[in-house]
Amino acid sequence: MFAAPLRPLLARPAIRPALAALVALAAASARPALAEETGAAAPRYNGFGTLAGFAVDPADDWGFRRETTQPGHHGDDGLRVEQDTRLGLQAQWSASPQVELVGQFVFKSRADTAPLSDNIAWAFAAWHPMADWTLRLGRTSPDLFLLADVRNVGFAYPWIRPNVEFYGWVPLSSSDGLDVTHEWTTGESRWRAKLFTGTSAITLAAKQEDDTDTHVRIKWFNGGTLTMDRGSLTLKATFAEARTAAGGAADRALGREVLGAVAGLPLPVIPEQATALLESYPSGLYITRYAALGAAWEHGPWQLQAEVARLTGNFSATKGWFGYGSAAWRTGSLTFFGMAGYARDSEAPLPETNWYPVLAPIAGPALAAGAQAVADGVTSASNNARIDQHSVSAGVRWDVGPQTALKLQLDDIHTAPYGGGLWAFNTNDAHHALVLSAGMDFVF
Amino acid sequence: MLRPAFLRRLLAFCAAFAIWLPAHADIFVVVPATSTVKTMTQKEVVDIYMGRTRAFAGGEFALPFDLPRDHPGRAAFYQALTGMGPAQINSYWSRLMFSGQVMPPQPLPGEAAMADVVKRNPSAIGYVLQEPSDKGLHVVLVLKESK
Repeated sequence: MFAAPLRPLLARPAIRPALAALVALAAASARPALAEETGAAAPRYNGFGTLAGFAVDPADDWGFRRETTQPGHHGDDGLRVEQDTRLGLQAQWSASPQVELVGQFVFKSRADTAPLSDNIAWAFAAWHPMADWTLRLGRTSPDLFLLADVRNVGFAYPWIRPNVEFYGWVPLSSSDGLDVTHEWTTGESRWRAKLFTGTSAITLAAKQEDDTDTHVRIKWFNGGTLTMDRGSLTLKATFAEARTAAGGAADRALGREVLGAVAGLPLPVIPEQATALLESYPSGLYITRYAALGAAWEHGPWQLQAEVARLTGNFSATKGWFGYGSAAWRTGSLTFFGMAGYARDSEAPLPETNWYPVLAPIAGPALAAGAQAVADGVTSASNNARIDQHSVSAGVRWDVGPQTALKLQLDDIHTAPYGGGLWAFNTNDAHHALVLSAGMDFVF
Repeated sequence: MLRPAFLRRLLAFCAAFAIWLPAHADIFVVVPATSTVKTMTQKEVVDIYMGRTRAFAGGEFALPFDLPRDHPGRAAFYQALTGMGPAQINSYWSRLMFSGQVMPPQPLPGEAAMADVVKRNPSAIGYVLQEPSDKGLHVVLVLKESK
């Protein structure tokens, strides 16, 4: 699954600082004693990982996925381990109290044509001109949710995986750019405000048998967060906007030309359908706006967490509401948890069209067939990606050691008609499935 | 020569007194003698050792040092400082260290190394289990360890 047409690694902007960081880390590792004398810390090497598998009931064609960047497999393929199994390696070095270099690699299931450079989750330099200011340059995690930095670190949360309805649809796992953070205290509260800007490249895994992976380039990704920590309570607000260039510009332009022509015909119903199809995707950049609120609270044995997000944009698939809530109760080395999630695209599914019988006598069989093909393609792509799903989950985490945890989780997932966008090989029918997962998380 | 009855009463009194009195050992939070930091509150030390701030109260950068993970003094320090046991502390930092935002305190081989490194580093903060006699170290906080 990692086989891909390799691009020269040095062509990626994030690779150069990553290589520079590795060289610096190697040099620092050779002289740890001197490092502490100069106010620096010795480089630290840590890692994390998950070994997990799941089975789906009913074992039908639908393929459960943790994230849309991962390929799915039919449910009747039996036990699957690739969705949640991953390995992370991290290196950090404080060259001085003001400067840090951080690199993290995450190896997990990705789209077949995803480049190797996607395994670089982080590669950044952090500078603290003052203790309460941080500038980071390089590749970081997009700060879109509470678990933005630890999304891949299973040991950091009680569940097998972050809620799929809230986290699964977000294809963005890293961005190359700059962020600035300022921290301050008011009374018992600690505040953290961040602004970020960057770009990113994403490979969305093919969802259907006859699909291919989709490569998109986020040309512009800007936003900000405001976080408050007060005791064991954390509140976070996020806003971000992304402008994305998708491939196939020539095909999209031709499709818009065909739909535009059909929308201008003096016919009942069909022109309105063509107009709806035209409005379902943009002629230029795809614009997505994201706003979210998150809260986490620990009180005694209880851990509560919830997030809600609103998505808007200039194409139908980016308008929706997403959210989840989780409650966990810890007793000794066991943590019992329950979670509920919800995701729903605001736009109704595009109606199926049947233009050929009406257009053929007017425009001829060939043009009518072409127009029908364009309509079918746009309708299928939009409806197949549409998300309308909710789930309820329950499980247990057992901390068998200070660095190892075992987990067991059962998810009850209901998908509405035209709502299976998070799944692979989904149809437009409603769907109900139970997903039983078991796994082990570890850190070192 | 003491009579046996008196000895028995004396031993009983000593045993009762020993049970009644909990064993206390002090843990000394230290900075270099050249540091501008002269005293710290327990909350300020907690914030540094739990990664909530990277600076002393006056705004100077703080570089915290730690004992090895399996050192009994480390467990005693965090218990006295935060009330959290070693498993909780390890779990807390296991989550935080992969956030990319903050690093755990740098571990050193032992107390001798701790004293040596802290006194030679102007930003350092560390802890030792006995009152330091080295004039290169300055005690900013004393924690009581309860057993």
